[in-house]
Amino acid sequence: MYNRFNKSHFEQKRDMKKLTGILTVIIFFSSILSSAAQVITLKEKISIDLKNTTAAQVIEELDKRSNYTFSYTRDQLEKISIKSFVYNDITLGSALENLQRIASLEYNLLGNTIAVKLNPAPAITSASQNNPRPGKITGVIRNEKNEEMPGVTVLVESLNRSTTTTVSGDYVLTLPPGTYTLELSFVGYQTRRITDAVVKEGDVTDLSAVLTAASKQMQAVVVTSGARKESTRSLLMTQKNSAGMTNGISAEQIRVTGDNNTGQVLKRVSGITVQGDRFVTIRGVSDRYNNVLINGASLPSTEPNRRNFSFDIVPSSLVDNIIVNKTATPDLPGEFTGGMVQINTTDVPFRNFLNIGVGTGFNTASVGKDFISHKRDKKAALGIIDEERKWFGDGRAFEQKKYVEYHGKKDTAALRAIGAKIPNRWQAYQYQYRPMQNYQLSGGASKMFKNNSSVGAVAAITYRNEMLYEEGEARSIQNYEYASQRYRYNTTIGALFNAAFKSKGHKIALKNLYNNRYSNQYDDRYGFQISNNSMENRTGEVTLANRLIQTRLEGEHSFFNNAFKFDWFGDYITLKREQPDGRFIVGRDVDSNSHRYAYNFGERNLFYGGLYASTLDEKRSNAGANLSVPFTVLKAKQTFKAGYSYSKREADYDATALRVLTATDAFVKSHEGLPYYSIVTQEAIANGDLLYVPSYIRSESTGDRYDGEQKLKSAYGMLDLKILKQLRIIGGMRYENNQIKMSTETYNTLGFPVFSDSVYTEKDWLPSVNAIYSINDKLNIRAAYSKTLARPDFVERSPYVYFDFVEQLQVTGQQALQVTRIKNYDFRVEYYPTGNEILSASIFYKNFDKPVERFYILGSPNNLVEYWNLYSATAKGIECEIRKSLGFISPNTNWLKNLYFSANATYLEGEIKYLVTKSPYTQKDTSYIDNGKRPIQGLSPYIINMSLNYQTKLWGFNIAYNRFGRRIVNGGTISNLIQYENSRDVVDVQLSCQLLNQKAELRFNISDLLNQYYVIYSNNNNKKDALGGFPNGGPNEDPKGLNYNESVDFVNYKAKRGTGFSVSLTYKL
Amino acid sequence: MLNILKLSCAVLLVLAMAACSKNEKAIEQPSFTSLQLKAITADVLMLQVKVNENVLTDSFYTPGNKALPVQYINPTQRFRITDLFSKTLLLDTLVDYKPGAVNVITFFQAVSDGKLVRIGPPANEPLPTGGKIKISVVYGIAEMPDVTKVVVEDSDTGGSVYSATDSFLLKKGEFSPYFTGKMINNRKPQLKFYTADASRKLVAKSEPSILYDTNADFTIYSLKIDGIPGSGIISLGREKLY
Repeated sequence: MYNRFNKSHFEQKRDMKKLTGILTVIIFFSSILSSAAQVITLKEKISIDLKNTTAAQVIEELDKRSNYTFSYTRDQLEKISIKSFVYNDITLGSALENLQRIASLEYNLLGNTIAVKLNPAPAITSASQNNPRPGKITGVIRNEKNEEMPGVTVLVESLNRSTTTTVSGDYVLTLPPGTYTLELSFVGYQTRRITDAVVKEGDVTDLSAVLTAASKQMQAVVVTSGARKESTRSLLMTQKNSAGMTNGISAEQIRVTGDNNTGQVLKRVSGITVQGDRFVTIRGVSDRYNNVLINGASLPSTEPNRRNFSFDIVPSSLVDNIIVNKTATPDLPGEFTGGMVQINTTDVPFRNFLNIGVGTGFNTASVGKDFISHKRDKKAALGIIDEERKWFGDGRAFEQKKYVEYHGKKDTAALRAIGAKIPNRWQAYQYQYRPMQNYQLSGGASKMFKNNSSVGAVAAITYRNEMLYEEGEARSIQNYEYASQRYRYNTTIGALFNAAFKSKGHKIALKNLYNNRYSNQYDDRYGFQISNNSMENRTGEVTLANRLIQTRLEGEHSFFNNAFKFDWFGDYITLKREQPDGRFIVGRDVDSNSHRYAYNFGERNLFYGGLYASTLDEKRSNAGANLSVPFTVLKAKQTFKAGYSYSKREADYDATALRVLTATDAFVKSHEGLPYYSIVTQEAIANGDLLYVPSYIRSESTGDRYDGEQKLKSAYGMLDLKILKQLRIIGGMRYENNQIKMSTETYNTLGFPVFSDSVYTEKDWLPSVNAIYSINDKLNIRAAYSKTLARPDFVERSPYVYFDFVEQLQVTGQQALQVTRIKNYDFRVEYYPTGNEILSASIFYKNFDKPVERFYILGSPNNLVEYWNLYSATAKGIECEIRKSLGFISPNTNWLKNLYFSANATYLEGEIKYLVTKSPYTQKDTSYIDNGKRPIQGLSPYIINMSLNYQTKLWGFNIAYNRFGRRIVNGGTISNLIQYENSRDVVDVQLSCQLLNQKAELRFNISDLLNQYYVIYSNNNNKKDALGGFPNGGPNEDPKGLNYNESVDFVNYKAKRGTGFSVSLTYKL
Repeated sequence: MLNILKLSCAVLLVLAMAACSKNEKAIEQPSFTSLQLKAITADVLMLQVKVNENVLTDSFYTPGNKALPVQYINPTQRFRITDLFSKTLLLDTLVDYKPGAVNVITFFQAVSDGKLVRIGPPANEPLPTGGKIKISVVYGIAEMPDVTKVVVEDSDTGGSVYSATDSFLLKKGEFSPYFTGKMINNRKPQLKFYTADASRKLVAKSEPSILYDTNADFTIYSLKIDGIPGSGIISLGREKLY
């Protein structure tokens, strides 16, 4: 550029200086603010390299290298010395802005002339007056093994200021707005110099980096790159360098999205399907074979028979990172097969913040409906159950043990006195539909100290309340055929509080999580009860309240110049699950479709209606520690890691079922025709006209309780070896020693307890190895082998009987249930075109030994579900994944660069082997292993996820499509009784935009736009016989095979659940 | 942008306020019973039975019975009975349904062109005290005088020895006052009907056994001729009206 100017041009410029100087002074004071801002926006690119210089020399150089003319007083600027002013290919505006900050200058732009004036105030103060709020640069520094690096020096060149990364590898720099060059250095690693790191007023710039280990000679070489390029590289290396096959999303990535809770964030992680913000499907594998760790701990499920976690209680602003592991490493718990979701919440925020969020929405199936249930709890909107409903449990009005004793002794006076305390809540109530409500408040604060240590805390409270309605048809083979209406009312309240101290070598954090989930489901069904040969109305209400509290103390320490890393944790988790006052009414229609009901007061089986209540108290204590030791072999840095953990879990479950029976026919006769709530009154119980009688479902058991204790000890050792420059092997062995004691207690009709105890000791060596061959910076080949587990839960191993009244299913565990052991083989090729993009293809093979299924069995008056092991099963599949920016279509089009297409598809073939003990032909006892050509329960033959995502700082949208192949809900060895959930096409749309200078965010969501039928079906005949009898258990002639065929398959349940529309507003104070 | 924000805030506020408002309505499930309409009438009638504003039936031929299922929330119902032959409103009364599968409602016309009445428990009559029963009787027997003197006799000790405990004058076609009967050893009272004049001639008699199905509260019988033995004293039978 300099050469383009000739001598006469310089002479002209000198003459002009005098004139323009006068003009500049006149205009300067009137336009200082606007003209200063104009200067900063000058786009002309320059390069400058001056060291130990003065402000005058810098201005002179800029004068030479730009098309602008500078007016200044040389004597003044000569006095300002500058250590370094080095920039490559930056804008003139940025260069002047930096000079302004360093030398405390002011500018005024008039046409092609820039007037330069000395600002009397000090540089930083001056900057803060013009630009009152500083900005921040933050990031995480990792090495090539993805380990966070403590103690890395981060130097801001032009200010000569520096900081060091904490034990978690992160750093925060508070700087005046401007463009900076950072230098990252650490002993044994190549220094990285990152230019053009832009700090904007009051804004946060993410700048993470990966340092490369180097020989002494190479350490002298400084690698320079631009900030944007370095961020992309860091993202790419983080994914590419992970030890196992993982997908993840970091806080930086979350900040860019408009997501406001973790459930929404998880949907962005490739290969993951989140149903209802609570259940996770990974690689087509459902919750039984997945695991979720929140802050490193596996939390108890809030669902009686499924693994789940309310992801929506953790605001996205408090998520530090989410990692989804698809292959095991020895340092991870052995209990996952499909995937493990690790959600880690932040502790010390890099800036103080306070966010308020408000949201609302509706569901098309629910809006405008009248909602029916028994009298709603007064504080249901706060998730609190009325005290009068909590009559069941030790120390309460109804103590099971005492009641069955009185019943055994026929002490009717005592029975009446207790029974009269149970409220009469049999009447149904009607409520108007209310839109979904969602509130979120989150905040954080931190304080930095001089030695670069910091303390901080974050807290959040979330609230969600919604009402959901669905109507459909429900059938059960040989049992019933009903029209079904379901009303749900849910309240979730979550809270989170973390506090931590962090320094270069140490971090201690206290993390607390609270989740209170209240759900009420009222089912109203009318139709033909085959087993009773009558039209019936069956209503059932189940209220479930879960309160989960986790408290965790954890520490992270680095020693010996950050070589050794030691971390530890201890946590205590309590779960109280209460199912109070469940009410079931069976009304036999005295005349078909007349809706005039008669009630049974004679049978003792809960099948005919009654009360059900249960309580579960669960406590978990976990503790553990990990040590990471580096060593050098083959001239490369290697790592040995070892750890130990101990976990103790205690569960106390207590349940009862009661029938309302009459002592004499006279009372019932004289009350025929009245509503149930007018018959079963507290007065009738107190008078002895009616009596609560301990009920049973199977044999003569009149109540159930179980105690369970689990002690799990784990230890592991693993090596992370760089054998060749391109080959990395991470492998080792994990040992898990699991001891379970179960004691199930039932009561016979005389009130005497009957015990069924069992003890399990399971010792497992779980080897795993991950090999990564890095062909180049963008291409990896991975191979992995691991052995993992799926342990049955307490309830699955207890002979305790749960009666699902609405489904008329008797669900029973088995003491003999064995642990499922899985051998996993994976091979994957992955290509990372950029940090945000991935193309990968995997093949995998899984061998399940003794997989557990819910066996569906026909029975009378109700069908049964029992947990049993299959003999073995296999699953072999392929998985493809792509996340690609569409910028390649037109590289110069900016909006295409921000448009990402993601897809993930898994195809899986499964086979099972099962033990046959009774010949299907002769019905005689036999024993042989038979084969079945289907995947086990919880695996889908295919899964497809696709999404189109556009995101800029101002707005974004995401359209996601998901479909998974039919999957087994209730399995077994009789193929026509197996129940499948049919495939559905699910489309979700999200739209978000930033308002008020990015202080507010508006978000619009549509979930399940297509609203296709949700169908549970079996490949059983669905036709009535010639005499009009209902279909019984028998195969059908289905040309579609196992797939759903509406014309011939037996539909167990079919309903449309509606499309959800919601809008939320988040304001950042 | 600011407008979008204001609009969103307004929508959120309205929805949040709607979500907080109170709403709860108890669902009154109707009770049901089978009405056993029973009409004992001296005349042949075609009755229309209107309950509140709804016609329950307009083809109730009497004397006769008719069974009709009904559902109700409030047990007190207004019954209007019209004879469609003569288009005459015969009865406008309130009926209380009792819990139970069957509610028997009896209409009674003792004599031709007589008043149609609904037979039901008395409104202001005290309930019988322990071990006793309360009965009302009516007769329309042509062979009996228009007015009789009725003597109520109870067993003193539960044996076969009876003595008079109550007496009253009774007009043909009218209901007697409620009289109390003892029930020692479940022995029911017996009734003797005399002429109302000074001769006090015994014209009819009911055995204790015909009152075997008395109610715990009140019982109403229509007396009929069971037989006339050689003594000329009518042996009475009965039809239970309530």
